[in-house]
Amino acid sequence: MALLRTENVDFIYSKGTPFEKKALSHVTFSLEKNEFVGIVGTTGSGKSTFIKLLNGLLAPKKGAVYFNEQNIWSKGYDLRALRFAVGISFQYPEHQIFSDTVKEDIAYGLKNQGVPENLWQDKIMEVLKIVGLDETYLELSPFQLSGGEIRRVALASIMVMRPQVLILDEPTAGLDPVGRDTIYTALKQYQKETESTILVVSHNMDDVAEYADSLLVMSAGQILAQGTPAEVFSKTEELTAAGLAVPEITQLLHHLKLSGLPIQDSLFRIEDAAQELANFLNEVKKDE
Amino acid sequence: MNDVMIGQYIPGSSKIHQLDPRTKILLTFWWIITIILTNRLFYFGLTALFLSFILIGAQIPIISIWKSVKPVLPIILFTSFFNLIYTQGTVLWSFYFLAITQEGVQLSLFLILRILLIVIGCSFLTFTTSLTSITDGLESLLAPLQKLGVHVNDVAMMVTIAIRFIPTLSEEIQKIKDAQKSRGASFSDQKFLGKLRGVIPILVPLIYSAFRRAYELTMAIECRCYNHEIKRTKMNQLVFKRNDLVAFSFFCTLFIVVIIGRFN
Repeated sequence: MALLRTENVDFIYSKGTPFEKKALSHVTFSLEKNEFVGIVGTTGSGKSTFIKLLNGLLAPKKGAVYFNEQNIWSKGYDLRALRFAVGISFQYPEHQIFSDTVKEDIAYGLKNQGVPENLWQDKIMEVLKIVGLDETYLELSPFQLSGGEIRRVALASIMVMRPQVLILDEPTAGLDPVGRDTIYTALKQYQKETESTILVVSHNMDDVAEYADSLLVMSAGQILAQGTPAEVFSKTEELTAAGLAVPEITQLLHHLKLSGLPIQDSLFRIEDAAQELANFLNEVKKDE
Repeated sequence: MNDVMIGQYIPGSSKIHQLDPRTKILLTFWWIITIILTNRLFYFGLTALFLSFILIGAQIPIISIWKSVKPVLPIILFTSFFNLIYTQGTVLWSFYFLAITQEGVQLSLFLILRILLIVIGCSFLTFTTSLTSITDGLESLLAPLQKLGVHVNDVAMMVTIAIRFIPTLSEEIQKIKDAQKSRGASFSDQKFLGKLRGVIPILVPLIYSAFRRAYELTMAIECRCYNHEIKRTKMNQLVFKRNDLVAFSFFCTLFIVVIIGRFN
């Protein structure tokens, strides 16, 4: 049974005006418990629109969205409860921070959830640990923090609500490689601790390839490819046509293969690729 | 990318779209004066006919016109209702202390027609002219004030920037709202205090980001060496063309007809 799924959803912006724009068409997709899924696509492919449908911020013009097999747009459905279960952290979450202290900002979700105040401290400390910050941050103003730190605070403010599905839109945009790794490590840690489902939207294949169990490739509001990273990256031509590139390491292997080396080119993790090359070099050495 | 239509500009290539923005601004004022001076039902019909020609000429969908009229309808109906019952004169129908007079009917009918015609007429300016052209037009029309020491260029620049950022900020509001809703905020609290509390999580980030954008923009403008001492030229120079003359003569004719109608 799928935890969260969409069935044939369509979405159109500014319907009925001269600015009408079709953003999604016939998107059918499902998320299982404890999955780590990456959505990739170029700018304007409908990724961000799609995730807004998943927690009911936007209503599909056609089709339906189901959470635990219940249509979220059926009459009397509690959308607010859904939003606690399906947490979204938007692009540049640091732009949505409004509190005086880090603690207050993280507590905002708890307050809305109606969690009693004496439990806040423990819950906040738990998520701070996951994102790799300590208690000295609690009383700081969010506006004093560095880009990477503030991003982690924003992430913590969603995690603290313990959503069953955690959706992140470009969580590492504008961060340096270290910042990027801390975010992904935090996500993996959160998933391990809570057995939740994680959905990461990115336009960077390298980012998601390393962490995701499965990928969804979107192009012009439609699903272009879906499957494990290895399956998706074997469709190099289609991805290139849609304006996306396979991970750099896969490209390198692909070019080496084209130059005549008998190696496998559908690898996308640096470790795997290094292993493959090492095996090949060892073979060569043996032959000599 | 949201449903807010600020400025309501509907791109097109009609004759009316191509008119000089100065022509359209001046004619909008002239239109208002003409309508205020109209005082016979027949001439209201004439001006309405004139407006419908503009409607056809500008190729604006009726639905957009309706959208621009809808918000003022309650005000029109409200004021005309009081005009209807509070005007003294020949009584047509009475009910206790309420009396509807012939003069009242006429007055409120004219009021409705006037406001409708003015609102629809003015909306054509914003429907057919992009905001940048409107500010270009205003800048050129206000240019004589430069001699009085008013920095018309700077004012025009400020107005352009302000208008340019309305959609950006409204998009920003939507984004912040979505983000706070995702953290369980609900904006349906009816009590005043609850409403106020609901606004803070939106307002603070909005103001913060407005300042951030302002600083970024200032930096960008300074990098391009903007200052008021340099006389800038325009990429699209405003030039009155033959069609502008035609438009002026149409309005002039209408104006004369209305004036004659008024004093006959």
